[in-house]
Amino acid sequence: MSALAERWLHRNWPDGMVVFDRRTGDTHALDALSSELLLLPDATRYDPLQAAQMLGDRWGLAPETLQERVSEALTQLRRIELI
Amino acid sequence: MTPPQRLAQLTTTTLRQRLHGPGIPLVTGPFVFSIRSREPEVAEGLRRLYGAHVIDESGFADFNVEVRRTPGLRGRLKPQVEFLLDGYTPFNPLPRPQAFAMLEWGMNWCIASHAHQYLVIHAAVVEREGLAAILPAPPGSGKSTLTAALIHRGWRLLSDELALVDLETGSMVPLARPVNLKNNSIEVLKGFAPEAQWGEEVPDTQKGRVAHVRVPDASIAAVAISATPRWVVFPRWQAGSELTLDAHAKAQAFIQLADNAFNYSMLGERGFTVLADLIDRCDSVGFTYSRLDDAIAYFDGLVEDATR
Repeated sequence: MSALAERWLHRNWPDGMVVFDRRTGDTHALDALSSELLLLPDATRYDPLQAAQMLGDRWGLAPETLQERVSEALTQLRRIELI
Repeated sequence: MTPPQRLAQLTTTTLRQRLHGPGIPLVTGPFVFSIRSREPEVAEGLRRLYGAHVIDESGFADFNVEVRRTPGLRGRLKPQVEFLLDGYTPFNPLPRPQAFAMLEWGMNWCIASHAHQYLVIHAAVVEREGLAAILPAPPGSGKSTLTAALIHRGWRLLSDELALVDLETGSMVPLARPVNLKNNSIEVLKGFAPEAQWGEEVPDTQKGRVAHVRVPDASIAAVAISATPRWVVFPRWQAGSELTLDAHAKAQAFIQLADNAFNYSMLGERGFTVLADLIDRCDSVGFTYSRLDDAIAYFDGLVEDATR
Protein backbone atom coordinates (compact mmCIF):
# COMPACT_ATOMS: atom_id res chain seq x y z
CA MET A 1 0.00 0.00 0.00
CA SER A 2 1.36 3.44 -0.87
CA ALA A 3 1.90 6.06 1.83
CA LEU A 4 -0.89 8.06 0.24
CA ALA A 5 -3.35 5.18 0.29
CA GLU A 6 -2.57 4.60 3.96
CA ARG A 7 -3.91 8.07 4.56
CA TRP A 8 -7.41 7.09 3.55
CA LEU A 9 -10.21 4.92 4.67
CA HIS A 10 -12.76 4.50 1.95
CA ARG A 11 -16.02 2.75 1.22
CA ASN A 12 -17.02 2.20 -2.36
CA TRP A 13 -20.54 1.82 -3.71
CA PRO A 14 -21.71 1.57 -7.34
CA ASP A 15 -22.95 5.18 -7.21
CA GLY A 16 -19.93 6.72 -5.51
CA MET A 17 -17.50 6.54 -2.67
CA VAL A 18 -16.80 8.15 0.68
CA VAL A 19 -13.25 8.76 1.83
CA PHE A 20 -11.99 9.49 5.31
CA ASP A 21 -8.72 11.39 5.29
CA ARG A 22 -6.73 10.24 8.32
CA ARG A 23 -4.45 13.25 8.06
CA THR A 24 -7.16 15.90 8.32
CA GLY A 25 -10.09 13.94 9.78
CA ASP A 26 -12.25 15.17 6.90
CA THR A 27 -14.74 12.99 5.04
CA HIS A 28 -15.49 13.46 1.35
CA ALA A 29 -18.12 12.01 -0.96
CA LEU A 30 -16.84 11.32 -4.46
CA ASP A 31 -18.72 10.53 -7.64
CA ALA A 32 -17.90 7.41 -9.63
CA LEU A 33 -15.21 9.05 -11.81
CA SER A 34 -13.36 10.66 -8.90
CA SER A 35 -13.55 7.37 -7.02
CA GLU A 36 -11.92 5.50 -9.89
CA LEU A 37 -9.22 8.14 -10.19
CA LEU A 38 -8.40 8.00 -6.52
CA LEU A 39 -7.98 4.26 -6.68
CA LEU A 40 -5.57 4.37 -9.63
CA PRO A 41 -1.87 3.68 -9.00
CA ASP A 42 -0.07 6.74 -7.65
CA ALA A 43 1.90 7.68 -10.78
CA THR A 44 -1.12 7.33 -13.07
CA ARG A 45 -3.32 9.30 -10.74
CA TYR A 46 -1.25 12.45 -11.11
CA ASP A 47 -1.19 12.49 -14.93
CA PRO A 48 -4.49 13.34 -16.68
CA LEU A 49 -3.39 11.70 -19.95
CA GLN A 50 -2.34 8.46 -18.32
CA ALA A 51 -5.38 8.42 -16.09
CA ALA A 52 -7.76 8.97 -19.04
CA GLN A 53 -5.94 6.22 -20.95
CA MET A 54 -6.26 3.73 -18.13
CA LEU A 55 -9.91 4.49 -17.42
CA GLY A 56 -10.69 4.50 -21.15
CA ASP A 57 -9.18 1.02 -21.46
CA ARG A 58 -11.14 -0.15 -18.44
CA TRP A 59 -14.48 1.21 -19.66
CA GLY A 60 -13.99 0.66 -23.39
CA LEU A 61 -14.02 4.39 -24.18
CA ALA A 62 -11.68 6.57 -26.23
CA PRO A 63 -9.35 8.34 -23.78
CA GLU A 64 -9.86 11.72 -25.45
CA THR A 65 -13.58 11.59 -24.58
CA LEU A 66 -12.64 11.36 -20.91
CA GLN A 67 -9.75 13.73 -20.77
CA GLU A 68 -11.56 16.93 -19.89
CA ARG A 69 -13.65 15.32 -17.16
CA VAL A 70 -10.61 13.54 -15.79
CA SER A 71 -8.70 16.83 -15.60
CA GLU A 72 -11.58 18.50 -13.78
CA ALA A 73 -11.91 15.61 -11.36
CA LEU A 74 -8.17 15.60 -10.62
CA THR A 75 -8.27 19.34 -9.98
CA GLN A 76 -11.12 18.77 -7.55
CA LEU A 77 -9.23 15.97 -5.77
CA ARG A 78 -6.22 18.26 -5.42
CA ARG A 79 -8.40 21.07 -4.12
CA ILE A 80 -9.73 18.91 -1.29
CA GLU A 81 -6.18 17.65 -0.73
CA LEU A 82 -6.91 14.00 -1.32
CA ILE A 83 -4.03 13.84 -3.80
CA MET B 1 -37.55 -11.45 40.81
CA THR B 2 -39.38 -8.23 41.64
CA PRO B 3 -40.69 -6.43 38.57
CA PRO B 4 -39.17 -3.00 38.05
CA GLN B 5 -41.03 -0.06 39.49
CA ARG B 6 -42.73 2.22 36.97
CA LEU B 7 -43.21 5.93 37.42
CA ALA B 8 -47.00 5.57 37.31
CA GLN B 9 -46.82 3.48 40.48
CA LEU B 10 -45.74 6.50 42.48
CA THR B 11 -48.48 8.56 44.05
CA THR B 12 -48.68 12.20 43.01
CA THR B 13 -47.40 13.17 46.44
CA THR B 14 -44.45 10.79 46.31
CA LEU B 15 -43.59 11.92 42.80
CA ARG B 16 -43.51 15.56 43.92
CA GLN B 17 -41.59 14.78 47.10
CA ARG B 18 -38.92 12.92 45.20
CA LEU B 19 -38.68 15.58 42.50
CA HIS B 20 -38.24 18.19 45.25
CA GLY B 21 -35.71 16.06 47.10
CA PRO B 22 -33.44 13.24 45.94
CA GLY B 23 -34.76 13.13 42.39
CA ILE B 24 -36.61 10.65 40.20
CA PRO B 25 -34.15 8.17 38.62
CA LEU B 26 -35.86 7.72 35.28
CA VAL B 27 -34.67 5.06 32.85
CA THR B 28 -34.82 6.00 29.19
CA GLY B 29 -33.14 3.44 26.99
CA PRO B 30 -29.55 2.91 28.12
CA PHE B 31 -29.52 6.02 30.31
CA VAL B 32 -30.67 6.89 33.80
CA PHE B 33 -31.62 10.51 34.37
CA SER B 34 -31.95 11.63 37.96
CA ILE B 35 -34.46 14.47 37.65
CA ARG B 36 -35.11 17.15 40.25
CA SER B 37 -37.58 20.00 40.01
CA ARG B 38 -40.04 21.97 42.08
CA GLU B 39 -41.93 23.09 39.00
CA PRO B 40 -45.45 21.59 38.82
CA GLU B 41 -45.20 21.46 35.00
CA VAL B 42 -42.33 19.01 35.30
CA ALA B 43 -44.21 16.72 37.67
CA GLU B 44 -47.27 16.84 35.45
CA GLY B 45 -45.27 16.20 32.29
CA LEU B 46 -43.53 13.20 33.80
CA ARG B 47 -46.81 11.82 35.12
CA ARG B 48 -48.54 12.13 31.76
CA LEU B 49 -45.70 11.07 29.48
CA TYR B 50 -43.37 8.79 31.42
CA GLY B 51 -45.81 6.68 33.46
CA ALA B 52 -44.71 3.40 31.87
CA HIS B 53 -40.98 4.15 32.20
CA VAL B 54 -38.93 2.31 34.76
CA ILE B 55 -37.43 3.95 37.83
CA ASP B 56 -33.94 2.76 38.72
CA GLU B 57 -33.43 2.60 42.46
CA SER B 58 -29.80 1.47 42.30
CA GLY B 59 -28.56 4.92 43.20
CA PHE B 60 -26.61 5.36 39.96
CA ALA B 61 -27.51 7.95 37.34
CA ASP B 62 -25.79 8.87 34.09
CA PHE B 63 -27.11 12.42 34.27
CA ASN B 64 -28.14 14.43 37.33
CA VAL B 65 -30.42 17.12 35.97
CA GLU B 66 -32.62 19.80 37.44
CA VAL B 67 -35.13 22.32 36.17
CA ARG B 68 -35.41 25.17 38.64
CA ARG B 69 -36.71 28.72 38.94
CA THR B 70 -34.05 31.31 38.17
CA PRO B 71 -33.01 33.13 41.33
CA GLY B 72 -33.18 36.88 41.92
CA LEU B 73 -35.68 39.66 41.37
CA ARG B 74 -36.16 38.93 37.70
CA GLY B 75 -37.17 35.39 38.60
CA ARG B 76 -39.94 36.77 40.83
CA LEU B 77 -41.25 39.43 38.43
CA LYS B 78 -41.28 37.29 35.33
CA PRO B 79 -40.70 33.70 36.40
CA GLN B 80 -38.22 31.79 34.34
CA VAL B 81 -36.67 28.35 34.64
CA GLU B 82 -33.21 27.03 33.90
CA PHE B 83 -31.86 23.58 33.13
CA LEU B 84 -28.89 22.23 35.05
CA LEU B 85 -26.64 19.23 34.50
CA ASP B 86 -24.50 18.58 37.56
CA GLY B 87 -25.04 22.20 38.53
CA TYR B 88 -24.01 23.54 35.12
CA THR B 89 -26.48 25.59 33.08
CA PRO B 90 -25.89 25.09 29.33
CA PHE B 91 -28.84 27.21 28.13
CA ASN B 92 -30.43 30.56 28.68
CA PRO B 93 -33.51 30.48 30.93
CA LEU B 94 -37.00 30.05 29.47
CA PRO B 95 -40.43 31.22 30.67
CA ARG B 96 -41.74 29.03 33.45
CA PRO B 97 -44.62 27.42 31.46
CA GLN B 98 -41.90 25.83 29.28
CA ALA B 99 -40.37 23.94 32.21
CA PHE B 100 -41.21 20.46 30.97
CA ALA B 101 -40.25 21.22 27.38
CA MET B 102 -36.96 22.55 28.72
CA LEU B 103 -36.40 19.29 30.57
CA GLU B 104 -36.96 17.36 27.35
CA TRP B 105 -34.63 19.56 25.32
CA GLY B 106 -32.06 19.45 28.09
CA MET B 107 -32.18 15.65 28.19
CA ASN B 108 -31.61 15.61 24.43
CA TRP B 109 -28.60 17.87 24.93
CA CYS B 110 -27.17 15.61 27.65
CA ILE B 111 -27.27 12.60 25.35
CA ALA B 112 -26.08 14.39 22.22
CA SER B 113 -23.18 16.02 24.06
CA HIS B 114 -21.99 13.15 26.22
CA ALA B 115 -23.04 9.72 24.92
CA HIS B 116 -19.99 9.11 22.76
CA GLN B 117 -20.22 5.36 23.22
CA TYR B 118 -22.77 5.76 20.39
CA LEU B 119 -22.79 7.51 17.09
CA VAL B 120 -25.57 10.00 17.80
CA ILE B 121 -27.50 11.25 14.79
CA HIS B 122 -30.27 13.83 14.70
CA ALA B 123 -32.91 11.51 13.29
CA ALA B 124 -36.00 9.56 14.21
CA VAL B 125 -35.91 5.77 14.28
CA VAL B 126 -38.85 3.38 14.05
CA GLU B 127 -38.87 -0.40 13.85
CA ARG B 128 -40.92 -3.34 12.66
CA GLU B 129 -39.92 -7.00 12.40
CA GLY B 130 -36.57 -6.12 13.95
CA LEU B 131 -35.72 -3.75 11.08
CA ALA B 132 -35.14 -0.08 11.68
CA ALA B 133 -35.99 2.87 9.46
CA ILE B 134 -33.88 5.94 10.15
CA LEU B 135 -35.45 9.30 9.29
CA PRO B 136 -32.95 12.16 9.32
CA ALA B 137 -34.52 15.44 8.37
CA PRO B 138 -34.34 19.15 9.02
CA PRO B 139 -37.09 20.94 10.99
CA GLY B 140 -40.25 21.35 8.94
CA SER B 141 -39.76 18.15 6.98
CA GLY B 142 -42.57 16.39 8.83
CA LYS B 143 -40.24 13.88 10.48
CA SER B 144 -41.85 13.96 13.91
CA THR B 145 -45.40 13.98 12.55
CA LEU B 146 -44.62 10.96 10.42
CA THR B 147 -42.89 9.25 13.32
CA ALA B 148 -45.82 9.88 15.65
CA ALA B 149 -48.21 8.54 13.00
CA LEU B 150 -46.13 5.39 12.43
CA ILE B 151 -45.96 4.53 16.13
CA HIS B 152 -49.75 4.70 16.29
CA ARG B 153 -50.00 2.23 13.39
CA GLY B 154 -47.90 -0.64 14.66
CA TRP B 155 -44.34 0.63 14.36
CA ARG B 156 -42.16 0.70 17.45
CA LEU B 157 -40.52 3.97 18.45
CA LEU B 158 -36.82 3.87 19.10
CA SER B 159 -36.39 7.62 19.06
CA ASP B 160 -37.91 10.79 17.69
CA GLU B 161 -34.84 13.02 17.90
CA LEU B 162 -31.67 11.05 18.59
CA ALA B 163 -30.70 7.94 16.67
CA LEU B 164 -28.16 5.96 18.69
CA VAL B 165 -25.90 3.64 16.71
CA ASP B 166 -24.05 1.10 18.86
CA LEU B 167 -20.35 1.39 17.99
CA GLU B 168 -19.74 -2.31 18.66
CA THR B 169 -22.69 -3.93 16.91
CA GLY B 170 -23.93 -1.22 14.53
CA SER B 171 -27.46 -1.79 15.80
CA MET B 172 -29.94 0.95 16.63
CA VAL B 173 -30.47 1.45 20.35
CA PRO B 174 -33.91 2.61 21.60
CA LEU B 175 -34.58 5.60 23.79
CA ALA B 176 -38.40 5.54 23.67
CA ARG B 177 -38.96 9.11 24.79
CA PRO B 178 -41.96 11.33 23.96
CA VAL B 179 -42.36 12.72 20.46
CA ASN B 180 -42.22 16.50 20.24
CA LEU B 181 -44.78 17.96 17.83
CA LYS B 182 -45.08 21.57 16.81
CA ASN B 183 -47.80 23.92 15.59
CA ASN B 184 -50.21 22.44 13.04
CA SER B 185 -48.68 18.98 13.43
CA ILE B 186 -50.43 18.76 16.79
CA GLU B 187 -53.88 18.97 15.21
CA VAL B 188 -52.82 16.70 12.34
CA LEU B 189 -51.87 13.92 14.73
CA LYS B 190 -54.91 14.46 16.94
CA GLY B 191 -57.04 13.87 13.85
CA PHE B 192 -55.01 10.90 12.69
CA ALA B 193 -54.62 9.14 16.04
CA PRO B 194 -57.32 10.25 18.49
CA GLU B 195 -56.06 7.60 20.91
CA ALA B 196 -52.72 9.35 21.31
CA GLN B 197 -51.93 10.61 24.81
CA TRP B 198 -50.51 14.07 25.22
CA GLY B 199 -48.62 16.25 27.58
CA GLU B 200 -49.66 19.86 28.12
CA GLU B 201 -49.52 22.11 25.10
CA VAL B 202 -47.10 25.02 25.48
CA PRO B 203 -47.53 28.14 23.34
CA ASP B 204 -44.92 30.69 22.33
CA THR B 205 -41.74 28.66 22.58
CA GLN B 206 -38.81 29.31 20.26
CA LYS B 207 -40.15 26.44 18.17
CA GLY B 208 -43.72 27.79 18.23
CA ARG B 209 -46.52 25.90 19.93
CA VAL B 210 -45.29 22.53 21.13
CA ALA B 211 -46.76 19.41 22.71
CA HIS B 212 -45.30 16.00 23.48
CA VAL B 213 -46.96 12.71 22.61
CA ARG B 214 -46.60 9.79 24.98
CA VAL B 215 -44.81 6.76 23.56
CA PRO B 216 -47.07 3.70 23.24
CA ASP B 217 -46.47 1.26 26.09
CA ALA B 218 -45.37 -1.48 23.66
CA SER B 219 -42.39 0.64 22.62
CA ILE B 220 -41.40 1.21 26.23
CA ALA B 221 -41.80 -2.48 27.07
CA ALA B 222 -39.36 -3.34 24.25
CA VAL B 223 -36.87 -0.59 25.07
CA ALA B 224 -34.07 -3.08 25.75
CA ILE B 225 -34.32 -4.55 22.26
CA SER B 226 -32.10 -3.04 19.60
CA ALA B 227 -32.95 -3.09 15.90
CA THR B 228 -31.02 -3.71 12.70
CA PRO B 229 -30.70 -0.64 10.46
CA ARG B 230 -32.39 -1.39 7.13
CA TRP B 231 -33.60 1.87 5.58
CA VAL B 232 -32.54 5.50 5.59
CA VAL B 233 -35.56 7.54 4.53
CA PHE B 234 -35.31 11.29 4.00
CA PRO B 235 -38.90 12.51 4.43
CA ARG B 236 -40.27 15.74 3.07
CA TRP B 237 -43.81 16.84 3.68
CA GLN B 238 -45.27 18.94 0.86
CA ALA B 239 -48.88 20.12 0.85
CA GLY B 240 -50.98 18.42 -1.81
CA SER B 241 -48.20 16.27 -3.22
CA GLU B 242 -48.58 12.69 -4.31
CA LEU B 243 -46.18 10.25 -2.70
CA THR B 244 -42.97 10.33 -4.68
CA LEU B 245 -39.67 8.59 -4.15
CA ASP B 246 -36.24 9.48 -5.39
CA ALA B 247 -33.17 7.33 -5.14
CA HIS B 248 -30.44 8.56 -2.84
CA ALA B 249 -26.88 7.62 -3.70
CA LYS B 250 -25.29 5.84 -0.77
CA ALA B 251 -22.38 8.27 -0.66
CA GLN B 252 -24.84 11.15 -0.52
CA ALA B 253 -26.84 9.44 2.24
CA PHE B 254 -23.60 8.90 4.16
CA ILE B 255 -22.71 12.58 4.02
CA GLN B 256 -26.22 13.65 5.02
CA LEU B 257 -26.16 11.35 8.04
CA ALA B 258 -22.66 12.50 8.98
CA ASP B 259 -23.83 16.11 8.73
CA ASN B 260 -26.75 15.28 11.01
CA ALA B 261 -24.57 13.46 13.55
CA PHE B 262 -23.56 15.24 16.74
CA ASN B 263 -20.30 13.38 17.28
CA TYR B 264 -19.27 11.99 13.89
CA SER B 265 -16.13 14.13 13.70
CA MET B 266 -15.21 13.40 17.28
CA LEU B 267 -15.34 9.66 16.70
CA GLY B 268 -12.87 9.93 13.80
CA GLU B 269 -12.16 6.65 11.97
CA ARG B 270 -14.52 4.78 14.24
CA GLY B 271 -17.39 7.05 13.25
CA PHE B 272 -16.55 6.63 9.58
CA THR B 273 -16.50 2.84 9.78
CA VAL B 274 -19.68 2.57 11.83
CA LEU B 275 -21.57 4.92 9.54
CA ALA B 276 -20.26 3.23 6.38
CA ASP B 277 -21.37 -0.14 7.77
CA LEU B 278 -24.80 1.33 8.49
CA ILE B 279 -25.12 2.68 4.95
CA ASP B 280 -23.98 -0.69 3.60
CA ARG B 281 -26.87 -2.36 5.37
CA CYS B 282 -29.51 0.18 4.34
CA ASP B 283 -31.50 1.19 1.29
CA SER B 284 -31.66 4.96 1.14
CA VAL B 285 -34.46 6.93 -0.43
CA GLY B 286 -35.91 10.42 -0.55
CA PHE B 287 -39.60 10.48 0.18
CA THR B 288 -42.12 13.27 -0.43
CA TYR B 289 -45.66 12.95 0.87
CA SER B 290 -48.69 14.89 1.97
CA ARG B 291 -51.04 12.23 3.36
CA LEU B 292 -50.05 10.19 6.40
CA ASP B 293 -52.05 7.17 5.23
CA ASP B 294 -49.99 7.04 2.02
CA ALA B 295 -46.78 7.36 3.99
CA ILE B 296 -47.69 4.55 6.33
CA ALA B 297 -48.67 2.28 3.44
CA TYR B 298 -45.25 2.95 1.93
CA PHE B 299 -43.43 2.10 5.15
CA ASP B 300 -45.51 -1.05 5.63
CA GLY B 301 -44.61 -2.03 2.07
CA LEU B 302 -40.92 -1.71 2.88
CA VAL B 303 -41.29 -4.28 5.64
CA GLU B 304 -43.35 -6.64 3.47
CA ASP B 305 -40.70 -6.53 0.74
CA ALA B 306 -37.86 -7.05 3.19
CA THR B 307 -39.44 -9.99 4.98
CA ARG B 308 -41.01 -11.74 1.99
